[in-house]
Amino acid sequence: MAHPVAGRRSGRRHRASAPKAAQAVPLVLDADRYGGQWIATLKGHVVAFGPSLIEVNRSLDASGFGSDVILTRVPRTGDVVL
Amino acid sequence: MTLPHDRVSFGAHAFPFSGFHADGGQRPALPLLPVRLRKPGGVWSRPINAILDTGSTKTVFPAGVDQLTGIEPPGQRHRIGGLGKGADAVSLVVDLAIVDASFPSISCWEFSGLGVEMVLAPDDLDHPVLGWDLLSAFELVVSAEDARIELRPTKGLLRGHRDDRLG
Repeated sequence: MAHPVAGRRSGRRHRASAPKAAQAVPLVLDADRYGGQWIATLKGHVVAFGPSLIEVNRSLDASGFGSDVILTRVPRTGDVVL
Repeated sequence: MTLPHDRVSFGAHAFPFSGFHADGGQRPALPLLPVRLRKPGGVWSRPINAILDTGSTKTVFPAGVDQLTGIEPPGQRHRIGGLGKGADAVSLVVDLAIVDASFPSISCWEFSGLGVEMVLAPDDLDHPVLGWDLLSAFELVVSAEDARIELRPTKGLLRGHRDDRLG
C-alpha cells in the first residue's frame, strides 16, 4: 500500500511558499524513515512512498502527479549498496 | 545503441550525489542518475533513480519496470550473476533517457533500442543499476569532494553522431 504524503498546511502561519517550493532541494535519502521503501520526490520533497515501485507509481497517478516526480529506492539502515 | 539526432547534448552534464541519512547520522552519499524508460516509441515513464555502477557490465532494473513502461517481456528467462546467488532475468529493449536531476522533464541524453535486463523476483534486486553497457558512452568524472558526477559523451560517440548528421 503506497502512502501519499500530506502537503504542508496552509493558513496565515503556514503560507504556501510558492517560490521556495519551486526551487529544487537536494535529494536526501532518510533510511531511518523510509529504509527499504520506494519514495517519490518532487523537487527533493517526498510526496509518496511505499514498498513497491508499481504501487507508488499507481498512487502518483491517482493523486494526479505529473512526470516531474522521481522514484527512488531508499536503502535500509545497514544496507551495503552493491 | 544509438543517439537520436535531435536530442543529443554535446556538452558535459553534472549530477549531484544524493545525501544519505541513517541512524540519525550522515552517511556517504549515493551516485544516482535519474532515467526514464519507454517501450520504443511509446510513452516515457516517470524518472527512476538508478545507481551508477562501474562494476556492473549490464544495466539492470528491478521487477516491475515492464509495467511502468508497458513492455511485455519476452518469455525466455536466463540467469544473471554478480555478487550473491544471481537472479532470473529477462532482456528488454527500451528507449532510455538520462534526465536532469533537478528538472527531470529535461532529457540530457536519449538512447534508442537499448538492451537492458530486468530481474523477475522482487527481492532479487533492490536498486536499478546503470552498468558499462550504457556508461561506456561517456567520459565519467566522479568527485566525492565536489559531490558531483559529470558525464560527457565520448569523442568517438560524438564523431559518429556528427558523421551521421553529415551523411
